[in-house]
Amino acid sequence: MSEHNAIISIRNLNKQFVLSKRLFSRKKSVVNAVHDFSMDVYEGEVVGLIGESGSGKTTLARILLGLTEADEGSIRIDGTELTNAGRKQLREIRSRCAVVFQDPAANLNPRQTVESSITRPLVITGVPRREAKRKAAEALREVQMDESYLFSYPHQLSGGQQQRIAIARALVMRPKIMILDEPTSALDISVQAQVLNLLLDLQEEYSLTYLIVTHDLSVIRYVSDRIAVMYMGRLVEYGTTEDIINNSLHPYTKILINSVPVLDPEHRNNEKAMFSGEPGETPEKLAACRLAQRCPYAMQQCFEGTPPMQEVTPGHFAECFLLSDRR
Amino acid sequence: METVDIGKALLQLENLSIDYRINTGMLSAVHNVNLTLRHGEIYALVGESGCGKSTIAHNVMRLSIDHNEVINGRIIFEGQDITSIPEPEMEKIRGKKIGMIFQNPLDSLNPVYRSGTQVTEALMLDGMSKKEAVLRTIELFRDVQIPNPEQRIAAFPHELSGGMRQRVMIAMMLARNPSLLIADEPTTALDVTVEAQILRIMKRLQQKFRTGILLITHNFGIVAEIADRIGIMYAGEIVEEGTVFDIFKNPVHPYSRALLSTLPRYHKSLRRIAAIDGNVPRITEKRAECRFRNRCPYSSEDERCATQSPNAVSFGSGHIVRCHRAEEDRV
Amino acid sequence: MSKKEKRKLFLYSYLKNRNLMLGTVIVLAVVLIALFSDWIAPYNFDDANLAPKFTRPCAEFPFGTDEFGRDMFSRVIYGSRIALRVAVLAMLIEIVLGVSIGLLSGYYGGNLDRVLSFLSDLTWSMPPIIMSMAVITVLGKSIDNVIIAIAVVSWAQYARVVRAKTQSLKNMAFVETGIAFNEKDISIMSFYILPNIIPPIIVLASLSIPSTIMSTTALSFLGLGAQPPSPDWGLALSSSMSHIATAPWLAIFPGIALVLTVFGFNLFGEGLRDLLDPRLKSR
Repeated sequence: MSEHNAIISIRNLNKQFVLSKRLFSRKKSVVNAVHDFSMDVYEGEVVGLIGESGSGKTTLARILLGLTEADEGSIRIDGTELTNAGRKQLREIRSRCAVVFQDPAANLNPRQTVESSITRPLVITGVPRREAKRKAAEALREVQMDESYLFSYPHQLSGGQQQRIAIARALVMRPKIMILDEPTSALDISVQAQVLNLLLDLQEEYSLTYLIVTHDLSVIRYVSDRIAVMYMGRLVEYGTTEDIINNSLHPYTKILINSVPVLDPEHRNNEKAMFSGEPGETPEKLAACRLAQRCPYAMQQCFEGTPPMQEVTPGHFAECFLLSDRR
Repeated sequence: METVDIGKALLQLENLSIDYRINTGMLSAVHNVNLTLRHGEIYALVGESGCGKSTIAHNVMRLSIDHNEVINGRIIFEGQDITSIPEPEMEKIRGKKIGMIFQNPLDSLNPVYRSGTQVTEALMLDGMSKKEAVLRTIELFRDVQIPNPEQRIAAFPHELSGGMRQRVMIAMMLARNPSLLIADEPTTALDVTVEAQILRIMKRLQQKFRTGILLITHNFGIVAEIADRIGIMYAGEIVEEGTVFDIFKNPVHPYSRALLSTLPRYHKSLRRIAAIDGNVPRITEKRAECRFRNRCPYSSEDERCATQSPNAVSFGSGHIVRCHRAEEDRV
Repeated sequence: MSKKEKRKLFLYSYLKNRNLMLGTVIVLAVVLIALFSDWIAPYNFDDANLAPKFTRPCAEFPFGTDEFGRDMFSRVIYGSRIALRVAVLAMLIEIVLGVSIGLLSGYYGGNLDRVLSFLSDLTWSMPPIIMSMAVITVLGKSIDNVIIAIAVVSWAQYARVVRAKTQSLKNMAFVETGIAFNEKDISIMSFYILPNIIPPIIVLASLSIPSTIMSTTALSFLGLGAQPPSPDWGLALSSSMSHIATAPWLAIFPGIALVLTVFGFNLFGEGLRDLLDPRLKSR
């Protein structure tokens, strides 16, 4: 992958969680939440990171935010190395990288007014209070809310409004990058559209870089320039939205796209390729394709080694043994 | 396209209204709902949170007796009005004739019993011997495509994945062979690849056993996938009802139209999705007005929206719309 | 719901709860009596020989007099001051100690949590009255040492509640967002977590007051707390023991005062819990 103007650059990232299996047993089971993960995000683009439960997408987002420490690998965010960063570097990275989480109600401190929530990131970096308040009012306008909401408490707002406030708080620091963890999946459909449109408007206006982490393919294809597909800790396919939706290469991506219900009853009886099992069924060996157990096309090879990541067409990457023949 | 043989009425709601006494007055959760679900039909009640769809499901099942609840109208199941029958009678219907599956199957399975035992118990209630019941359980597990059913019947609910638990729930419901299955957001907590499997199972049940399914959901995708008829709910009322094709191809009510257009289906370079401004209201005061009025783009053009409740207008063969604007274009 | 509506709803459920109302009235009465003892009591608590000793309750001395001819009515009134002072001071020390330990323990986790949890489990597992007696034996007999003894014994209940709440709150999105924009740990704890655990602390505090009053009384009764001529209720009960057959009023009136106060605080605490808890759940 080319290194130029990558604002987030992840190389060979690993993160394991150790779970002790039984109360009185020393045998420990290990979950490879993120496994040998490499990816670049370019400045000003919207990248959707899609995966099902247990894919490690949330762990990856938490590592990028410095909430969880990685075991191995390197992450450069806007030129600063995140792994092993000291307090100062971490502060620098965090001032450029803002976050909005999924649950609108949990996103805001129930005991803080809207104004206090939004001004807080500014106040702690030493911005004078009056200046911070002015910027808070401005941020509120940017998320299309009336200034009168400044003095409300979160429980007085609807889910969509709470999510707008969370976006305003992220925006007020003028970050370059926003990490959005399922930003709309807790919202009603009519409100989801409002928030997605708002996010797109803001991204265009400030040429922000978005990394959107989600399980919802219909949302991601609507907002993303590029899509990264994650399965059990590994990046299995990465390419433009067009590449992924219309020319997907990896069997997992294909079936994932196939599984999403089509919003047209006329296509309802199309026979679909389906997985037999569920995510989380691990192969015995770490060095095997993670999907081998569930994949309808699995070959002997798949159980014996990890398939290499290949650039099949320019900018379209996938890791699957089936692709080796096509090159 | 296969045609599902749809029979006579299984469940009918007649002018059903449900209100709750709250500290500051009355909350109208469901208002004048009329609905007919036939044998072997999948009827989807679709709407956003707080529209009353789950309230209806819970009341058909009469899951809890809430003294702050006021029910008007009738719920007719297999020709019998079940709104006023005594609790012991209801117990014979609940579980036996009407089954229900929930969003979170972990909450509805008993964590201290093995998953197979819970199904076996249900079968033994109907007078089956233990041995027969276990064999039947294995068969049911196979019906809902649980791999290795002989082993899985010994698993505790927490040892199963979300999709497997939902299958066990469905198997448990099937055990009593109900004529009506109420599915309250059955796949919302599941991953899409698993959702697809569960939907396929539900579709098979409907075809194989002619089970009527009342599907409660906010997800238009699964509606398009398996529903025969749809009722779109807004603020406690069914604002539009019709076949899945009526609603997806020819929605009439402004809310249905707006809702369908908010679904993200395009790439962003093509266009922005339409959004509906505002939020779903809580109705604490029944007025003669259209409940969608404050969010409707057309309400300013028509004074009836503020002064009269819209009547149900028929657009032919079961396509019904409650909107003043629709009255003029009546077919 | 608007702020005004919410306040109205709160007031409404407050007034509807009869036990809470009764509790509030009793608690308020005790607090007022304690604050204005000097005005209410006709005599000072150690004015002796006002009347012949062991005068029966009469119009001038409604609760009678004791073996030194002191007015029991005045002594019972002044006794409320001691009971409340001990209860409030002990509670404050417990809260400061318990909340800070609970916050640190819950927020940092790891070895610090292990040590602090062990400490709180240890104090929790000891019979409180024996523990307090041990503390007083070390520090010496006085009412101020009773406060310390009670606080040392009872902080653990706050620490446990606060620790559990902190653990669940620290994974909430708003706390993590705070960390992600560089809040210091101390601000996370004081600004994000603490305000959200105040309601359970209030409930716990109001529920622990009656037991604190009982412990104080018990220690004074055993001669470890208040010393003569203090009008402490526990002390009054213990010195009335030897005259119980001839002058039962010496035991009855301090006893009634004690029971009423404890009863009132219990009603108040339980009512407050019922009122605050559903609001906690809905959040």
